[in-house]
Amino acid sequence: MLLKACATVLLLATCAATASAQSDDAGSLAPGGGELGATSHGAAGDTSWTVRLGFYDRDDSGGGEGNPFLDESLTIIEPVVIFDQQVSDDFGWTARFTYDYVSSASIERLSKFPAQSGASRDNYFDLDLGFRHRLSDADDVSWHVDLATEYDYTSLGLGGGWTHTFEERDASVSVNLNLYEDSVDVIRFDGSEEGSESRTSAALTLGWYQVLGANTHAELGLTLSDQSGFLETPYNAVVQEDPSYAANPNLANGAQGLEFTEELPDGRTRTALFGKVRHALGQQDALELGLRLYDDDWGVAAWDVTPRWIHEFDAGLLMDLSYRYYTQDAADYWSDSFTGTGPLPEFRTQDSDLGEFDSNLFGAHWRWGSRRQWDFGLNHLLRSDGLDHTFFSIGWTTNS
Amino acid sequence: MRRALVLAAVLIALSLGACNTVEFYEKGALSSPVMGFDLDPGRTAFHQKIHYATEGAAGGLGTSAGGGCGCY
Repeated sequence: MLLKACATVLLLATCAATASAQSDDAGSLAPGGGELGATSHGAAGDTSWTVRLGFYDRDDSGGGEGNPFLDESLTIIEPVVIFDQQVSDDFGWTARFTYDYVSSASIERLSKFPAQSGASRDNYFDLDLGFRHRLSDADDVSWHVDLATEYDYTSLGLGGGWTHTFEERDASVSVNLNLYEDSVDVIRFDGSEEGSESRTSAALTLGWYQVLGANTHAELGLTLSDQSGFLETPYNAVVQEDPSYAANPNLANGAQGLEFTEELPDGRTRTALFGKVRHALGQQDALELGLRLYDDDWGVAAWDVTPRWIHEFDAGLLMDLSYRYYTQDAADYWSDSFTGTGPLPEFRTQDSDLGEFDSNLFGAHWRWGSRRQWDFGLNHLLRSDGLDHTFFSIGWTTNS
Repeated sequence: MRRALVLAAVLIALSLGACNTVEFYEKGALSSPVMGFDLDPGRTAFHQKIHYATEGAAGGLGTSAGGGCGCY
């Protein structure tokens, strides 16, 4: 019922924005330049370098929030370097290198076992090469290759997409397919190793960009994805509590319980419908409303709504203020408590990210400069289960 | 849930399909910097990783929906 109400809100917002469309100054428009379609990156010969530093922090010292048996503290520092070159009018490419320095209580726990003595920190490396080709004034294709590695994880990704822009450049449609073939070294919560397992992920995204009026445009997308293979988080455990058990010193709250491996199905199908409408209020202000509906066959249903205000100051400073409300139901296999001494369910998890919660995210982002551009974004999230977190990023881009 | 998704898709598609063509000389406001959907792909990727890794719902931010990282 709630999801229908949200869909109606987005529909009404779309219609209202369309109805308020007005004629304005003449100008040019490059349509479809959103997240869904292949995009041009300037004129032939244009190059750019971007350096970005991201920081994420979640403090759960003592394990008082989220999963009560675990300290879920997590800190990530992520430097990213991106090079982009528009080689000719019809061809361009991008290289993106990402490094994550990950420090978490879960990795720290594993480090006490001899086999994982090197696992006190996680280092994630990712190289993504993307290529875009303009086939005609109306058609663009893009494809990318992605290779990522961590101490217990490797991933090979391939993806491609096609964008068709309609006459009058009022609309475009796109199709994207992304495939990932991943390998996971299964290291359990107690340090035991169970060899390597594979994980295959495929996502098909259909996108639609539409000019709704002189001051309004919108994007609509549908992503269907399928994952198969090992979908558990290897080191996750569920705790079975019973008064007959001794207090367990491995648990953050010292509960009387035994730990067992998390068990989840080896397949998952997801559906996400999402869209956003942006309306210009003159040349310096715009309002946006975004909505996403999500459903999967593990029983997780979720939706989020994101209103946003974008303002350009006279000095060329762009400010983007946003708020995001997100809510999700728990997965069918999730429980906050397993009690007794009998057999556990075949599929079980206490991963707080698969539980029921809602969150409120407050974000602010500033961007300034033209040939040399800086940006800074700061976000703070309040989660109903207490797992609040803060993240920010600062980026610098030079164009030549 | 599935019915809600299909219903929403149909309704939104119908509303978009009803839009009138806007002449090129009327589109000035749409080329303003405040109207660019993809203000920063790097920032979008950063947010995608955080949301996918800390929520049960992956998909709808960019074009992937899982895979590529041990974090989700």
